[in-house]
Amino acid sequence: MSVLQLAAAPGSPAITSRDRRFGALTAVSCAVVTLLTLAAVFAPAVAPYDPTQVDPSAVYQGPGGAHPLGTDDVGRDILSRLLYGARASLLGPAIVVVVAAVVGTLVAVTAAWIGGRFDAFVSRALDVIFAFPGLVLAIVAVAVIGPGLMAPAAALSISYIPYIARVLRTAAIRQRNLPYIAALEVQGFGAAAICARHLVPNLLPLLVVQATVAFGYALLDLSAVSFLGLGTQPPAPEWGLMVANGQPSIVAGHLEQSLSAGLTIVVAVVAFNLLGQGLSRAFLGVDR
Amino acid sequence: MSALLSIDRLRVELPGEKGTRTVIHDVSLDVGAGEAVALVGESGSGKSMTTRAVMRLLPEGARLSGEIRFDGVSIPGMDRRALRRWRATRVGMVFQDPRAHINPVRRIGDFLMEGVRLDRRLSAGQARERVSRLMRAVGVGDVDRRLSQYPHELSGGLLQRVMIAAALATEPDLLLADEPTTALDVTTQEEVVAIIDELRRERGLAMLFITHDLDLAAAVCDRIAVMYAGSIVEERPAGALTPDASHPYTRGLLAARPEIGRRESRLRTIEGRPISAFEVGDGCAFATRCPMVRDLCRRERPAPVHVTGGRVACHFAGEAEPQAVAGDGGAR
Amino acid sequence: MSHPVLEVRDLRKVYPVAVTEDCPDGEFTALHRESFALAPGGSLAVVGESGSGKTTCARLIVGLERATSGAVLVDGVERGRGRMSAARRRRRGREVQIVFQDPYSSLDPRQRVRDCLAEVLTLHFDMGARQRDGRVAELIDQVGLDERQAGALPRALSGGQRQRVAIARALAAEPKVLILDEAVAALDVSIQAQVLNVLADVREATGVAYLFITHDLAVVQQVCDDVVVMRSGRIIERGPVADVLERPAHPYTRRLLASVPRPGWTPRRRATEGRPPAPSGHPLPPVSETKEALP
Repeated sequence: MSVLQLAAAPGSPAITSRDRRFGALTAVSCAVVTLLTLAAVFAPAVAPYDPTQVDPSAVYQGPGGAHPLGTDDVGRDILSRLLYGARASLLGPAIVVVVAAVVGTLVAVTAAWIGGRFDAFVSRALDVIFAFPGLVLAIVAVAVIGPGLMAPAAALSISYIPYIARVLRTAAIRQRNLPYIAALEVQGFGAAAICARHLVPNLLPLLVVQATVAFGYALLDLSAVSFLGLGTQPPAPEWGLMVANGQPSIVAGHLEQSLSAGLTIVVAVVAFNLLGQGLSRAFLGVDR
Repeated sequence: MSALLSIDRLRVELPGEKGTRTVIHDVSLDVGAGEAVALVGESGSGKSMTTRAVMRLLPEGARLSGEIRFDGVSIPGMDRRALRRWRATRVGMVFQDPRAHINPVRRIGDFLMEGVRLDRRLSAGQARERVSRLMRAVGVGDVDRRLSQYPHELSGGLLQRVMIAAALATEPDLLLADEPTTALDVTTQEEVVAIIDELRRERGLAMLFITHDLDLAAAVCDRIAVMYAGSIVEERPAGALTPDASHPYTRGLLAARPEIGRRESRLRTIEGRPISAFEVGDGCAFATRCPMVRDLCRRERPAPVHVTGGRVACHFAGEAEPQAVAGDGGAR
Repeated sequence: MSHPVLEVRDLRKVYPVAVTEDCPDGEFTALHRESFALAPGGSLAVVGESGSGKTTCARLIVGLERATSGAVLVDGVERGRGRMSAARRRRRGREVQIVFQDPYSSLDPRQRVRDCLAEVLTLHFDMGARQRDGRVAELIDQVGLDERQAGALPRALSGGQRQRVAIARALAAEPKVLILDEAVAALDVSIQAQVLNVLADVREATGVAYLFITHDLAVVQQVCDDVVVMRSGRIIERGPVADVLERPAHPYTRRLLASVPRPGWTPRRRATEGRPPAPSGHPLPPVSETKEALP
């Protein structure tokens, strides 16, 4: 839990030049995330070709010319497939993170508010879920429900709940014990109102940070699922799937497809991670 | 000068979001051998920062100018080894929160033994004997049981006595006590302060005592320096301060504190809030809150002038203040 | 005397604790069946050191904790406990309010002062936006804050100003009783005096009764009419402030008074290492001080 460690070290006064470099990295990662999102939204407008258009006359074309990143083994334009692939590749993690964040926050805040045995039970349950590797859970889900985006996304949504809930629960308990919450209780506000209007908004920075980092990991996990052929099914474009598809061609010396898709995944995951860390720092500065 | 600790025009600047911020402004103060001097001020006045400068415990990036000498040796000029040696053998420190300054997973005995054996080549038996003597000196009974206990098993008052014992373990010449009783109950405070006072006198120990409580300072110190916004505004013998404070801030502080047996319809307040050193303009630091402020005060920073037994940094030191301003609600 | 606005009757609070040699029955009694009453518009101090049970008392009265036994009555009617309807909860809020010690965590860091007060007014009273804004302005003025501070977030305010906001928030519910739980203890001397004066003004203007929880005897006489002195969960002395401070009957009260630094005061070491003798006949509960052994 790298975020937790960051959060544990409140802003010491001795951060100057290193801090600024951090700021630049955060800005770059923010730009990358924005670009990827725009690519997903505007793929039809910006992609030069139809991503599923097979062209037997143009297989294994190198980068440059009519195909900026070349073509694959059946002559599909790699750039177009990457751009369209952003849709499935980002939609999956988005579902995972939104579900995990909503459920995780609810669970964390409820446990923190009620406390006692209920809280202990919730904590144990979260530990149990946390102990299952997400990838294994996703594969099991595919085995039960069948391949596609939804089954692994649903499974990962569950396995990512502890990621959010454990950190948020700790923070929620801290908030719960602050006198401002007690003052609201004494005023006569109900628990739901206090949580919705005061407690959760004060957890929001932490939630955003945690969700951003989780997004990167979920992207990686879902790409792996697709790589194994259990996620998005061909011929639909998806990055993990593209890495797998390009594999046989590597032997023949055509690296373009696997390499470009693999690099895109790495860049995306690193960007989300750095953005998460940058936000954590920024929010800490604001909070303290 | 034969002062044990001599602070001369100390100035400390810390890096902030918008350039550096002055937190200590031209502080000069001497502590003679065996003398107890109090630094009194409200939060943010720079009293703790001054002691941290003396101990060279300033935060990273802090800029220090001026001179601090201990027994004639410059503390800012010491190399690491000399500094470590000096800290270990010649000064003892006691802090406000003892729990934050003791390793929670080590027994009290181990903690004290470490201090005792740091400097002197004592056998384990001798060191143990010394630790027991120290514990009895700070008024801890049932020493053997205490030594085998962990910090969380001791109350705050008892733990603070252990910290005092640890501070005295190497027989230092100077004790730095930073709000040592602020976190304690009043009755415990009395005990702890009495112990510090007694041991200090017995051992001829000099002391720099940091507190926000003027009456407490007067009870255990020979001299009192009152700090406001990073500067010393008044320095007087302890006995002279209460009846005869010269600086309007000191007077305000004395009047603002309710006193048992003297109920007033309204307390006299100092308007506004304490400011920090970097908020001070060209004039007197207290000008924004002073009931007797005049034009000169806003223009020019007053230099310390001598008054009976001490010095005061006020253009109109000792002048009676207008009675009409007494007692208003406050920060408007 | 008219009937009391607040009455605490045989209030008792026992916490389960780990069984140790100090505490063989696994129980710690924070408050031993104590009673006291507060007259309408009066001001009663509850004085004690840490572990005396004074804060437990406050938390029981406002309902943040549930008493083991005993009752809290407001205007002669027992205050509800446990789960209750929203309407009853709000009515309880208009009975007793509280201001806590720590100015830095007593306010929601994301809420502007004005919104904080408006939220409370909306909860308790059916008033139009215009009327509400007027009341907010009135409250802000009452505690000595200005327009600029009303629009500020807590982090832009000093400790003393935050404490004024907390007082205003409590007053917004127009409670009959305001509990001040060490409300000026964390403030600098000069600021403490300002807030004490504000409290005196507020009582005069609104007629709210104070229950003033504190360890500080000097502050007590400035704001209170009556005092109860607590120690180890028991009330050991009570009476008008002037009487108790001038002619303390209990040795512990005398000791407490003697420990307060004042001009000409010299700290003295007591005969025993730990503490003065216990209130007669009762074994001392395992509060923190009892960790100190007798020599």
